[in-house]
Amino acid sequence: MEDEWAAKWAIDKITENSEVRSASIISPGILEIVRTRYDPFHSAILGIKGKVNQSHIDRFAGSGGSIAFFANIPGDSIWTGPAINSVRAIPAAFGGLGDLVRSIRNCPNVTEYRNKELAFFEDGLAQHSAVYQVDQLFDRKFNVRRRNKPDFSVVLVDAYDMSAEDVRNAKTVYGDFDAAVKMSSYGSITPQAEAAAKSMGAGTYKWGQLLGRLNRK
Amino acid sequence: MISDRDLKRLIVTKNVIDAQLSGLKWYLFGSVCKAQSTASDIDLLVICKNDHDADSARNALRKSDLYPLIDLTIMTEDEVIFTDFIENQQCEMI
Repeated sequence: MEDEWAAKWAIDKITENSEVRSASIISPGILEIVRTRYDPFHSAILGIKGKVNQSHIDRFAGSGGSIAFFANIPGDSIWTGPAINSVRAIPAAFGGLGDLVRSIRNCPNVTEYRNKELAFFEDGLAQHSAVYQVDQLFDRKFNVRRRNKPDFSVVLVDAYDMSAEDVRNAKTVYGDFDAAVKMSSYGSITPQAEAAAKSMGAGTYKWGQLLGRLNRK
Repeated sequence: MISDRDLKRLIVTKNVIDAQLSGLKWYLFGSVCKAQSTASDIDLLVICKNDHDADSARNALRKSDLYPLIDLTIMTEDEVIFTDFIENQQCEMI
C-alpha cells in the first residue's frame, strides 16, 4: 500500500518535469518512465519508511533485471549497505526522488547514475593513503578500515552550516559514529554542533580536517 | 517541481506545528525562493529556542507527507547568530 502511494506520488512529481514525456505504473511498484531526450527506463518506487533493506530490493528479482533505478520516496529513510550492494549487483542505481529526477535529466544510461556528492566522499575515503578498505554501512555512513590503526566510522551530514540538531539527528538515524563530516565545503560547524558531537564521544569535521584525522590514531 | 500547492501545504504544516511548539521561526531559502518552478526541494530553516524544541520540530515535520521534499535545517538562535545564516542564505520568513 505504501509503495502504491509512493508510486502515485512519484508520478505526480516527475511528470512536472519537462524531460518526462510520460510515467505510468506497469506493475506494482514499477514505473515506466518515457523521456523526451533519452531512452525510456523502468524504476522501482519504494515507500519504505525507516531502513531500506536487501529484502526490499530482492522482491523485485523477478523483474529480470529490467529495473534501472530504485527510488525510495520517504525523505527520512536510509539505505542499508546490503540493499545498496544488491542494487549495484543488478546493475542499477538508487536514491531518493531528487536522485531519480537527476538521473532522468542527466543520464542516457540511468544504471550509471551515482549521487555526485556521495560518490566524492566514498571515492575520497577509499583513495586515502591510510585506508585499505571502506565498508558502506548505510548510504551516508562508512566504516573506514585503516592500516595499523583502529577502524573509524564516518557519517556524512548534508548541511551548509552544521548545527547541533544535525549531529543529534545523525546519531538518531545512523547510530554511533566517530566523525560527523560536513558535506558542503562552504559554511561552518557551530560550536554547539562540536559540543553535541563531543558529548557522544565523536568529533565534527570538514572534509580536509577528516583527511588529517584519518592519519592519526 | 515545487508547486504552489506544496508551499500551501507547508504553511498548513507550519501552523499545525506552531500550535504544538511555541516560539519557532520559519524561513525559506535557496532555489525555492529564487526559481520555485525549477526547485527540486524546499530549503527550510526552522529556528528553535532550545535543543528539545529542535528535536521536536524535526519529529513533527517527519510526520508530514511533505517531508520528502524538504531539505531541513534546524538551529537554535545562538547558532543562527554564529553562522549569520539568515543573511548569508537570504532567507525569507514565512
